Amino acid sequence: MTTTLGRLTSVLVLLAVALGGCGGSTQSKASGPAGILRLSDEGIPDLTPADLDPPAETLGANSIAVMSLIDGGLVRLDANLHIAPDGASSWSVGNGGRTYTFHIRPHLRFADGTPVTAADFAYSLDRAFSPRYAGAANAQAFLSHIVGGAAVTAGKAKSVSGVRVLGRDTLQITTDKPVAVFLDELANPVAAVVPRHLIQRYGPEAWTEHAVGTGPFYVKDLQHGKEIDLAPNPYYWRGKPALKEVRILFVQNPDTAYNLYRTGSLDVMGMVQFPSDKLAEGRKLSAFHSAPYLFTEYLPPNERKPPFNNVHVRRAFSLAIDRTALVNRFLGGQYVPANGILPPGMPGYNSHLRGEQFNPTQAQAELARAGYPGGKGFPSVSLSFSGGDPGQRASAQVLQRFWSKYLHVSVGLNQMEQGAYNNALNAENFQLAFISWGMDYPDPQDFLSLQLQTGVGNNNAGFSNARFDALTKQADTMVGQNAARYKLYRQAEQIALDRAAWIVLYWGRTDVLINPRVHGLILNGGGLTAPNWASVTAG
Amino acid sequence: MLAFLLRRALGLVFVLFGVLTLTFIVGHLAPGDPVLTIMGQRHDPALYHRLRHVYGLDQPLWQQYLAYIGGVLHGNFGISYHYTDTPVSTLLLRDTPATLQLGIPALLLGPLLGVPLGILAATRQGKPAYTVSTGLALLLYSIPTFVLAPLLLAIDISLYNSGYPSLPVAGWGTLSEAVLPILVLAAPNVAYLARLTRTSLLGVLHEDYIRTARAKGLKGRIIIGRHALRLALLPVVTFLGPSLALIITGTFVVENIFNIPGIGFAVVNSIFTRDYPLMQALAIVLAASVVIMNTLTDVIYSMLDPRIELAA
Repeated sequence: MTTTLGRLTSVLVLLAVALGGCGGSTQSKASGPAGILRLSDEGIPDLTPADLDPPAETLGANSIAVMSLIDGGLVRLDANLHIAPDGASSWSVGNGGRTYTFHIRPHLRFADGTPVTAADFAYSLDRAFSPRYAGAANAQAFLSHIVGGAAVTAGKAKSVSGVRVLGRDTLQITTDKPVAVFLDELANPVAAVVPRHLIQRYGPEAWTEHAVGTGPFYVKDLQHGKEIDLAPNPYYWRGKPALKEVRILFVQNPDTAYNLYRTGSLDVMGMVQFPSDKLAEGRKLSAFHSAPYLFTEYLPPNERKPPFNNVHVRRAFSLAIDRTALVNRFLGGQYVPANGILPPGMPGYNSHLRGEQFNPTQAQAELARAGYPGGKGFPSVSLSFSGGDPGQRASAQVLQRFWSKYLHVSVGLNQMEQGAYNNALNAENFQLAFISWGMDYPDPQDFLSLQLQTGVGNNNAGFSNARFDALTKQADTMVGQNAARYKLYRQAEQIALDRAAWIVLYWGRTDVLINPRVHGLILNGGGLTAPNWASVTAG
Repeated sequence: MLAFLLRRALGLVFVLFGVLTLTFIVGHLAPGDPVLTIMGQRHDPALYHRLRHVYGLDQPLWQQYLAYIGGVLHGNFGISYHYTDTPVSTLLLRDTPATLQLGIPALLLGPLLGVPLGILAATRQGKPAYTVSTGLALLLYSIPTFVLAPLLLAIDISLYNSGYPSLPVAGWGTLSEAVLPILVLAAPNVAYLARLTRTSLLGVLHEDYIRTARAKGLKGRIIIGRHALRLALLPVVTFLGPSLALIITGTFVVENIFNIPGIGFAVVNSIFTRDYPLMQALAIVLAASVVIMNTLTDVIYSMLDPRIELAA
């Protein structure tokens, strides 16, 4: 390198460092267009028409973040994640917890002024079950208990027999058995009421470009590849929103969203994904907010084959993990170390849980009890994970180290490509693997019954416990008795942890940056939301 | 010339056919199931089988292949698995313009900036201009796109925070949003072409006919512009093909960082989601661009050097 080149390079580097240092502590300027809220939807380049259609969406959080502002259903989740009225002002439950009679608000309207009646809700549910949307499988996932839904999907019926219109504003829904979480399932966007008149005018796909619903906003302009602009719904039953406009930018890369926020082009970022490499820097800003998010990362030890068919081996592996160190030292503190299955913020969460602890001495004792004192004679095992997930990659290496250090066993790392990994999980071809479970709805049933009852689809570990099954099955049917149900689920959770059905690692967090000029937004277990979107203001 | 182009067009058809078959085989043989990816967290064997049927994935492989080829011949590239209900052709038509708007200026900028830089270096040997231009070229060529972009963005954000005029950090649609992405994408090409031009020109300047021109008393600028450059540019033209490859792979990174709505995201994502129809269509598009670029290169070759004849 010549002297000139050397000098040139040094000047450039110094310049970057100096300017970077200057900018580090500057707050985002608290200015922006008055009354216009600008958010980022991280991880997608665009929303297609299907992504805004309740039964058709497949993107999950990216779609729901937008749809929840446009659409409304019979019931919704309030700021504390409890069921609250939405399009239905009240309801009664009868017939042993199987029949729900909803009273629709008499003056409920779509954002274009068209009245909404019980018939519209029935139409929307029939549509959700129609064979056309079987691919997206949203109705099948969330509304499977409604009598007659499956027949519509199979093409044997045109409308769902369990949904009956009893009057202009009265709708009755019957389930196949008492399902305590039915209202939580109904709060899912798939059950939102959709505008039949627009679907008939613009067609079953294109209508979403002009989407209206019973939510606080409606679609003003969908700019593909760029953003979606929403206008306030003048007929919103909670009052016309104070905001003039909501702009949601589609941003492929969360780092880019962070840059856009720091240069004043966004008011809110991180509601879907916050860049982990910017956490350390972002935390220092007063605009940074963080709260637990209802998702659990865990290892299901495959109980169908040795050595993890032995509960002492499973317990040993769990006790040898220092979850606090894993999260704070190796994962940048972007999660919450977990000691149980139900995350904090979940209704029914047990704050007094005697859960998974880090105890190397006890871990070694358990391993000895299993017949491998000091790790001698322990067969070779492997931890499978997806190479495309940097969190799993980092965790895998740390866990390998923990087990080597505290149990003196060597665990192989089996890195796989995402698709291959999914196949292996499905075929039960693993010994230890990583799974994240994010909530479908905020109820313990979603994390316990749906995951660990004998033989259920998500039970990757092959866990089976008669007492666990009995407790959870009973709690699943106790309609309208949440306090009593949660007690049973808590007992079941303790059993699952004692038997090390899941080796839990950490819980999720939502990290966001919110410009101080924005008021009325909160974070709860479901992410970013507002107690009342009608009262949210910006600038 | 016409015969040459016709023969190349026929070759293109064979290349595309080969690409289609190869991507079909590789895509379907790779472990990983698009239906499982679509289903995400949900496990339901009955639904799984139903979906496999809906997407035609339960048919024998040769049948799926023939069905696909048949569709392509009618201009139907199928429906994307990941973007439910959306025809692949719709996705391509929607996303390709932005990538072209980004890629073509970057491709053109390569020779437009690189060649003058190289000429500067070749004619100013021993002077500071030589050192600066050669050093800059080396720097730009060595720094990968995914390092250069964040570096420039960090400088840009610091400028914004200090109240100085700055460029937008992301987005696509205005001229100011296009500056950084195009510069970042063009950088490695500019650098490589600068060095290539310099070396090539220096080589040509020692040729006999240049000495003759100098003996005749021609000025330096005319010697270079009219006589030396034509031959010196031959290696540069050769590099246009690989240039395109550099641009294509660079677009994936640049589109992601600067949030440009092009096909980069679709390409990378389609592999992870095993979106076979989209994957195959994109492979065809890329293969076609490479073949067309190579043909263009050959044509320009023959125009630059009368000694070169287009192969029959």
